Amino acid sequence: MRRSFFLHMNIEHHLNDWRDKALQFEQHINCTVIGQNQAVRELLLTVFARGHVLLEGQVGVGKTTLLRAMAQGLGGHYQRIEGTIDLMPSDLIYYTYLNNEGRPCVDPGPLLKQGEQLSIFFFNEINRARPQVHSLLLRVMAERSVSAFNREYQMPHVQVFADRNRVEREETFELPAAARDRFMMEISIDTPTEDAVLDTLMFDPRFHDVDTLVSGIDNSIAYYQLNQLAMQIQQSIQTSPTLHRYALALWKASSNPGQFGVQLSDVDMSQLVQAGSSPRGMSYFIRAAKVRAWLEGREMLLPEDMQSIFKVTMAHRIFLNPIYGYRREELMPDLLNGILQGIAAP
Amino acid sequence: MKRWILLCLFSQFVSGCSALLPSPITRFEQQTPRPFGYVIGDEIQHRIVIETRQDVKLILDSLPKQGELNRWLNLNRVSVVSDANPGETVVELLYQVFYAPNEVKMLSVPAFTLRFDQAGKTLEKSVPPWHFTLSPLKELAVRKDESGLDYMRPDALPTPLSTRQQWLAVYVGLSLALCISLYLAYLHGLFPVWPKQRIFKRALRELSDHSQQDMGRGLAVVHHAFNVLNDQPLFKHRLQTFYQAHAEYRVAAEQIERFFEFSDKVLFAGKQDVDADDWHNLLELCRVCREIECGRR
Repeated sequence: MRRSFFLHMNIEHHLNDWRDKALQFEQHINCTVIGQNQAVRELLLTVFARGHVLLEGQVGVGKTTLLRAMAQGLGGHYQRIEGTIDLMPSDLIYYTYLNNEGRPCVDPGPLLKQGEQLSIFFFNEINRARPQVHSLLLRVMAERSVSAFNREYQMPHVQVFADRNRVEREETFELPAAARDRFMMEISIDTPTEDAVLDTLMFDPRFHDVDTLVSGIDNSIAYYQLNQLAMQIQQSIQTSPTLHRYALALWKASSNPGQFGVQLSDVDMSQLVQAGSSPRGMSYFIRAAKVRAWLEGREMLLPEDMQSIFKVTMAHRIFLNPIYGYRREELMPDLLNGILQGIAAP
Repeated sequence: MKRWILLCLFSQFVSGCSALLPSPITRFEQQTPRPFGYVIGDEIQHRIVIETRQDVKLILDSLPKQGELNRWLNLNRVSVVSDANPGETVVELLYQVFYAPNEVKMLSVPAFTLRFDQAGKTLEKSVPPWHFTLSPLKELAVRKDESGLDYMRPDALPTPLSTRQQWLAVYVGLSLALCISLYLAYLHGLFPVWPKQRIFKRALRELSDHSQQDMGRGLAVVHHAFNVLNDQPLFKHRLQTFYQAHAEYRVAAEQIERFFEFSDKVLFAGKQDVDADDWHNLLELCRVCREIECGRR
C-alpha cells in the first residue's frame, strides 16, 4: 500500500517535471517561430501524444521552419526528404552509387540510415510524391517499421512531420484517406495577422537566416524517453463515464451529424458525410486531449480539452460525399462547429 | 393784376410741392361692427386698417395686450397682418364681454394709442373708445311658472364638441400602457407558458424530486437548464460568451463558476464525497437563477 503510494507520488513528480520542460520547450519554439502559438501548441500535443502531423499552409508562412525547430528541440536523429514527382519508395529505403574504386554500392536510404535512433522523419511537400511513396509511408506511420533487404527495421521513436502547400495543385497527388487518417493532426498554418509580428518578421535580422535561428534552440527534450512518458501521461489522466458518453456522442455525430441536430444551409444532412472518424482517429483524438489536460496541469480529462483539439484532429478524417466535396472548405468548419455546439456534456 | 396772377401761380406751386411729401399715415380706418344687440359672452371684432409710407412701421408693443382688459372685457386675440399690400397693415382685435346687465347698458371698449416708428422718430395715432350697448339675457315677457315663481328655463343644449381626438389619444395611451405592462410581465416572468422564463422553475421542481445522493442527476438537471437558456451546450470555458448574451446572470457569476468547477470534479474527476452543503449550494444556485429569470435580481 505504502509502496504503491510512493510510486504514484514519484510518477506525479516525474510528470510535473516533464510538464515544466514541455512548457519551456513550447516557449522556446514560440520565440523562434513567432505568431503561430496555436500551431505550436498543437504540434506539442502531437509530440507528447506520439502522433504524426501534417502541416498545410501557403508558401513561406513558416511550415518547414516550425517543423525544423521542433525537430531540433527534440534532438535525436533527423532525416529529411523532399517530395518530388519522380520519387520512388525505394529512394526512401536505399540508394545506389559508384564508390571511389568504381564499384557499385548500396547504402541505406533516409528511413533506414539512422536505424532505431531515427526521431523525426521530415517529409517536405508530401503531396508531390506519388501514391506508391504514400503507401510506404502508411506502414512507417502505423507500425513504425519497414521491411527491406529481407528483414524488418524498427523505428520505435519515429515521428513523421510532413507538410504541403495549399496553393499549388498541379503535379501533386492527393493523399489517400488511409494516409491522412494516420496523421494525428492536420494543422493549418496561416500568415500571422498582428502588425507587430509581421513587422518583426520583416525587419528583425534574427528571422532572416533560418539555419541560425533553428540552431539556437536547445535540445531540452530527450526523444528516447517520449514513448514511455506518453504512456504515463495516458495512464495518469483520468476519464469518467460522463466523459466517455460525451466522446461517444462526438464520434457518432462525426458520421451522422443530422441525428444530433446539426443543420447546415443548403445541405441534405443525411447525404453530407460519406465516412466519419475512424476508431484510430478517435483514439488519436483522446490521446491528444489527454496530453492537453496534462499540459493544463490536470489529472482529469474535461470536455474543454476535447473541444480545443476536435477540429484539428477531425477535419481531415471526415470524408464528405463527393457532391459536397467542392464546398469542403466552407462546410467542414461549420459542420465541426455544429457538432461541438450541438452536443452537451452532460 | 399781374402780381395777383404770380401770387396764384406761387401758391399753386407750393401746394403742388406739398403734395409730393405725403403724410406718414395715409389711411387710418377703424372698422367696427354694429354697436348694439350684444349679450354676455358675445365676441366683438374690431379691425383697424392702416396705410403708411414704406419707412413707417407700426410698433407692435403699442397694441393692447391679449388678456383681461378690465373686469368685464377680455381681449381674446390680437393679430397683425402687414403683408397684404406694401405699406398696409391690418390689425384685428377680438374682444369678449362678460358683463351681465339687468337692463340695457352702454359700455365702452377703451381707447388706446398706436405708435409708429419713422427713422427713429415716434409717431402716435389714437384709437378712440368704442361705445356699444349690452342687453340683459332674460325674457322680456313677464311669465310665471307653475309654482308662481319667475319663469326660467335653460337654453337648448349646444351640439356636443367632437371628442374623437381625445378618445383616440385615450385608446393609444391605453394600448401603450398595455404593451408596457405585458413587457414588464414578460421581464418578471409572469407568463407561465413562456418557456424561457420557466427554465429554472422546471429545474427547481426536478431537483425537489431528487436528493443529495443523486448529485450526478442534480448536476445534469442544472446543466440542462443552462444549456436550454444558452440555446447550446454551455461549458465553463464559454462562460464569458454566455455572460455577454445573458448579462443579467453576471450577478451570479461567482456561484455559476463554482458550480461548473464542482460539476467537473463530480462528473469528470470521480469525486464521490459530496455533502449536504454541496446539495444546498446547488439548490441555492437554482433559486438565484430563478430569481434572475423572473427579473427579481
